[in-house]
Amino acid sequence: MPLLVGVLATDETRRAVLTKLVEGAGHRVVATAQPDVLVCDTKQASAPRPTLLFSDQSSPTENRLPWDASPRQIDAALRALAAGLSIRLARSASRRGFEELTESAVQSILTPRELDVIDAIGAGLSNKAIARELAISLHTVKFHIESLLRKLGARTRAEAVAKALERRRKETVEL
Amino acid sequence: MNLEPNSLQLHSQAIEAIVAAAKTRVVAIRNASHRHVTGLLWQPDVIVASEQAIGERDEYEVVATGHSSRAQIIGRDAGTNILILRTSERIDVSPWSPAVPAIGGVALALAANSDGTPAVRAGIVRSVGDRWFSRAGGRIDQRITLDIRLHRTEEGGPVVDASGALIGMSTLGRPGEVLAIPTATLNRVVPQLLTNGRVARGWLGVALQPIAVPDALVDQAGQRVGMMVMSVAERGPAATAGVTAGDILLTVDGIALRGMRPLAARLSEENIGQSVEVRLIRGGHIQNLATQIGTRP
Repeated sequence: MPLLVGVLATDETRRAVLTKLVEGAGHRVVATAQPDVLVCDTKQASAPRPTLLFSDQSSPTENRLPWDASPRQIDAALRALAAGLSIRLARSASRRGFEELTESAVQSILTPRELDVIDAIGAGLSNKAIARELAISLHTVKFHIESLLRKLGARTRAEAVAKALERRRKETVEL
Repeated sequence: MNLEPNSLQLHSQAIEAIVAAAKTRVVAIRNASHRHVTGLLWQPDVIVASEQAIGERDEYEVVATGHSSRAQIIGRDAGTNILILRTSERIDVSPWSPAVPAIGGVALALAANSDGTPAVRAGIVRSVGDRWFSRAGGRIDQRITLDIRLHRTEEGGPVVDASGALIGMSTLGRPGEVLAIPTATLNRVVPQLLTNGRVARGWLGVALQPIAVPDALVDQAGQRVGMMVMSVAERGPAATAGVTAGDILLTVDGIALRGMRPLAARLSEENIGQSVEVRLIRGGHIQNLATQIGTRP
């Protein structure tokens, strides 16, 4: 069921762009006084309805999307706002700043075997399957997983996989 | 009645004077859709800006107090976050005098509004550290952080001290952090960008991740941490020397790879062409390979 969306734009060109974005996300632009959601291109001091702002900043500010947001993101954002929620870009989706090379503390760096195990967990393998795949005992698998959880500061296997990925992204350098 | 200006008035007048003196050298860099970021006029026809703030297109309009011009990107270096544009008009400017940043010293971050009028943020130099390496492998001469908030459009402007001398170019660091790329780094990198459009950087052609040396090999390796080769660039120096994915690099020219920084330092532009010996673990054995530092493509 498409939402009824009001458009507040500074000029006709911007209005056309906003209309296209809304329609591209599968919703209808209307001129009624009580739309489900409003979209706008400048900050509204006191909008009468839940409002989605399009802006150049990709900073993770509430209820704000960049102009190049995907139709899926726009659709999800409009529905969330209409349901009384607020939205925020995930940090990884916003632009990153200029960062320093980071290095983990020596005691938390993984061994090659631990990398094999975390990759296997990430691929959805059970402990038994990991033991078979790496030709090690189930006991050794459990030992590696304990060590992984400790080194990555994770409580669950899923958290460990996520943290290992994040670390790889941050620490892998092309030289 | 006391006609002597009080110290607050003097302070205020000093800041106003610095902004007035610098305003022709602070520019708005606008693209076709009128979005803008800030840049600083480096020499009569060269603008310096923040590399991460500027996209791929070539044509920009540069606007400042008293002048405007078309401009084209002629060089960029993600490693040091420096980008340069050449303007079609020349604008008379005197060169920036470099500042020696002091922790706690006054810092003014100048920026341009989209119409080129100046804006300013005031704060202090929060910290001054040693040289450092960015994630993109660039060497930055000092790590200068500022106690100043900056909007995205304000990034790339000059940061000046209380005498109006240039501390560096403002740059957004990790979330919540504002840095200055030091004048010394600008002085080193801009001429290279003017000549080559990029910065030559040493290259081995490997992607590396820190890895713990397996216990059985720690004694023989003489270190607990090495760098695992995650991938090898085709026909790169490492590939030519026979390095393959899965190798664990221990030392390059005797320098233990306990992290990325020593290697990043070894791969500076001065060392391109030098032969280096790489000590590595492969298949449970330690061996040596010889390679040559290439130029990053």
